[in-house]
Amino acid sequence: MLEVRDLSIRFGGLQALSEVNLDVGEWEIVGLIGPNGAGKTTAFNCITGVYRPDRGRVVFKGQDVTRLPPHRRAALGFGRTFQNVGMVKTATALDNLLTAQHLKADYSALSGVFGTGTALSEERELVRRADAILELLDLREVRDLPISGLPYGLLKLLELGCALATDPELLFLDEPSSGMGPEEARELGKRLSVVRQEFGLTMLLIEHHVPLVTSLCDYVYVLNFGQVLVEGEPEFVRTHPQVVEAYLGTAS
Amino acid sequence: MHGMVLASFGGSVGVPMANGLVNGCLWGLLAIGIVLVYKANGIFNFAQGEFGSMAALIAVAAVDGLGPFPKMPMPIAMILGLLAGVLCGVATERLVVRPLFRSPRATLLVATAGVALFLASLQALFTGTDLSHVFPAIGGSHHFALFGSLSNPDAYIFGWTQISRVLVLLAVAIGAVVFFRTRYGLGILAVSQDPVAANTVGINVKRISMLTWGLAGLLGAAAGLIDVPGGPYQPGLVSGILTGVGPLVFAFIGAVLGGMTSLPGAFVGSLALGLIDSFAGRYMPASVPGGEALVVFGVLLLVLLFRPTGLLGRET
Amino acid sequence: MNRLSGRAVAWVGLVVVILVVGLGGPNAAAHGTTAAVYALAALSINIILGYTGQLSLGHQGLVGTGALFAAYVTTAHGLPFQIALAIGGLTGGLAAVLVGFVALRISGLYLALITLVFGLTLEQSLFELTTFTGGGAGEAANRPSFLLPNDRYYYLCLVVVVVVCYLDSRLTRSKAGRAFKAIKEDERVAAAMGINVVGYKLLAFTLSGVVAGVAGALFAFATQQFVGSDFDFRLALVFVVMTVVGGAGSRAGVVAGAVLFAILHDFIAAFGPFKSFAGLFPTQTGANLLQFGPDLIGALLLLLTLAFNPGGLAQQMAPLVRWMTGGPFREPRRRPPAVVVEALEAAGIETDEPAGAET
Repeated sequence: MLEVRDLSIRFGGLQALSEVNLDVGEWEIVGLIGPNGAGKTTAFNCITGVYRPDRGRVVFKGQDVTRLPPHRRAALGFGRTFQNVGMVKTATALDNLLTAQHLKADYSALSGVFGTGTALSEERELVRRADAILELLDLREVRDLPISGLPYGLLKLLELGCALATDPELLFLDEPSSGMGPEEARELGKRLSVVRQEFGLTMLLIEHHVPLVTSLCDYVYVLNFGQVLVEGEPEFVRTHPQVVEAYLGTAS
Repeated sequence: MHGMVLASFGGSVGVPMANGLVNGCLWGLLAIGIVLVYKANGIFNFAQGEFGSMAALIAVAAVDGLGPFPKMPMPIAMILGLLAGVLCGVATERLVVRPLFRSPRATLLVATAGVALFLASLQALFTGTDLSHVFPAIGGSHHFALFGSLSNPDAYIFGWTQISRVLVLLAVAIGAVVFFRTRYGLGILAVSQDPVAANTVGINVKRISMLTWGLAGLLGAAAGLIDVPGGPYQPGLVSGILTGVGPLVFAFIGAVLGGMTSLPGAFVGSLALGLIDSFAGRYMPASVPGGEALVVFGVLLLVLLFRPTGLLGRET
Repeated sequence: MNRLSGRAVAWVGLVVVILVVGLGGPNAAAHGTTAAVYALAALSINIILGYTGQLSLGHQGLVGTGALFAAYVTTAHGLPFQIALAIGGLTGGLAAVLVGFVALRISGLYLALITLVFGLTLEQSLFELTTFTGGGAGEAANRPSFLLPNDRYYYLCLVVVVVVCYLDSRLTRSKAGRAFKAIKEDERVAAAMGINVVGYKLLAFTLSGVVAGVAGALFAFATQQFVGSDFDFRLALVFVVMTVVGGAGSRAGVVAGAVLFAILHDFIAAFGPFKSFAGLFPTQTGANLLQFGPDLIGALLLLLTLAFNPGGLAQQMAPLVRWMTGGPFREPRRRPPAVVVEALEAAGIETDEPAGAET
């Protein structure tokens, strides 16, 4: 579903990524792991279009999307979460879910200004879908609260909801379990599995939480210093000597 | 005269070139202050011009013996003006920039615009629209001529005021090269690149911030002090808030032209802009009102569209 | 007195105040008209700055463009008033598109600079073209006879303000309004949610230009004249100041800010006590105080607002506005919902609320 070839980007004196190759098959959950500063979020940013790589190609469902701006990729089926909670912090949970459904709001911006019948009925539909997502994630109670007051774990869950609201085919999750304890992380893992099933999704996730990666991912890529160090099934990667060394070596 | 091809070099090329370069020097002085603040704080300081206008006000007041000032000789008046500029810069940093440090950039931009309006109105309170306060031209009424004799209409006539613009810019250019090798100069550069890292290395970020804005105030003041001689003092003259257009706008465009992250670029860009503006003024037909402004605006758009890092800037 | 009748009294009171301005005294209507035009300008800036977080320092150019074309089509082509008003709005929007198309692809900082230069350029070029200026005195913009009385014109302006407020409220509740808000907060997140950031910035700027153009047209007909030099850089700053002091992002707030500034400018010169205060100074200073005092006060208010009261007047007005539109006056003290309490406890944070029903 997703093919990344030869992805490279340089920031000033630092080669952040060099010749990264990734493949994500349909309905797979692929993990992207590596020590801090390995370039995982940078890779996400390049693949989703936030950065323009110096070299490389990104092909999604057979279509070369390397030159497309991020919102066009979202329209094609990319959904994404961010490391520091990518939502509109001054808005309510409901508003965020409505905003995330931007592409599904089937009326023109101007008809929104004049409040036409189409616009109003579409808005009702958006609210209905937002409520469904809140229901699915057990977040109905925070519907009308401004999200800035909510605890971090809840925010990450809501952010997942917003990513789902964009109706994606491929979900990019940047450390979805950050801020969660082991119990919550296990819940998250189950939830993601269910979500994959129910929505027919493919996922690429950046993660640090080893049990989550081992239980959830079908395939794992290990990134270090901007290069793919090792790739393979989670068990294979987990015990691979080079991977262990990479993590221990950068423990300082 | 527009449209008529003058046979003499002076009229067709010499005068616009000289004018353009002299103007460019004035704008360059402002532009350096603008780039300095941009590098340090990542914003456009719309109050840069008013540091200059305030300096001009104090200098004029000192020279004319207005208000609380006894009448003073020009050099002393100018020093007072420079001090006033520095004071404005430091005050802006402490009272406006630092409290708003964590705010979104649009807020800081609005704040500097607010400071500009505040200072201009403050000046207007004191002098209003009274145009009688003229700052004497530097060096009296000595005039020189280039590209012809003093009586030739196609010659470029100039005085010490114009010379001082070039000299001050050169002095500042040399000063900048020297300064940025000193501890303080390097400190400013370090903080502008990475304040957290600079702090870790032991650089006092707060003091550097104050130094940066004090310098910006000084540079702005210098610009104001070489802008006002020979003409009446008007409130907001450097920004053009109450007078229409002032050097500030050109300084911004010159800074963009040279690349906002490059201090030498601020010189080069402003000089280049000076030439462009001058020749546009000379050759744009009179039937197109504001032809000069159109050309300058066009230049700004072209640069931002096709070479946003400017002539000398680097990728940020 | 129950809540409902209290609210009704407040609304009636507001209407009375508005009527009083219209009926009271020969100049009150003119002052009210100025306030209405300023309110439209503030609403215009609010769309681009308050909602979308982009600063424009050339809005006086957009207002002036609307004024110029409204005056022109009336005088040179004899078009009726309503058409002139529409043309004012359209040309304002068009000018915004022209500059926005280039300017909005670049970062927000440069937009401020480009709009600054754009406004100045318009003032020196378009506003000076003799076809539009009709000579030094400025192009005439005569009102149709039924709008000649000042108070009738004032009511018209008032109606326009109300209509724009209504459309603005629809905007904020639509996908465009949400898109603007997302862009203001974090452009990357907005793009990830599928929002065409450049496109929506352009939309915001265009809508802003249309409202500015309408404001300009109304202004031209108010003074029955278009004078290019009215639309100078100082005006650009005044617009931004009153929007921010009023509370960028709040409709009611920016209107209040605009009214405040209109009062500052128009009434202050005639306001008895202030005049006497100014009279205490030597004549020149006193005159300067009257002429430039409002700007100084405005700039000071701006800086104070940014430092201490970022929500502007809107922050102070919020309880009142909430109450008048059906909500409670005081912010209700809410118990956090069960799901939040559980999450906090799971993370090991003590809460002193028992998990359970909210109020």
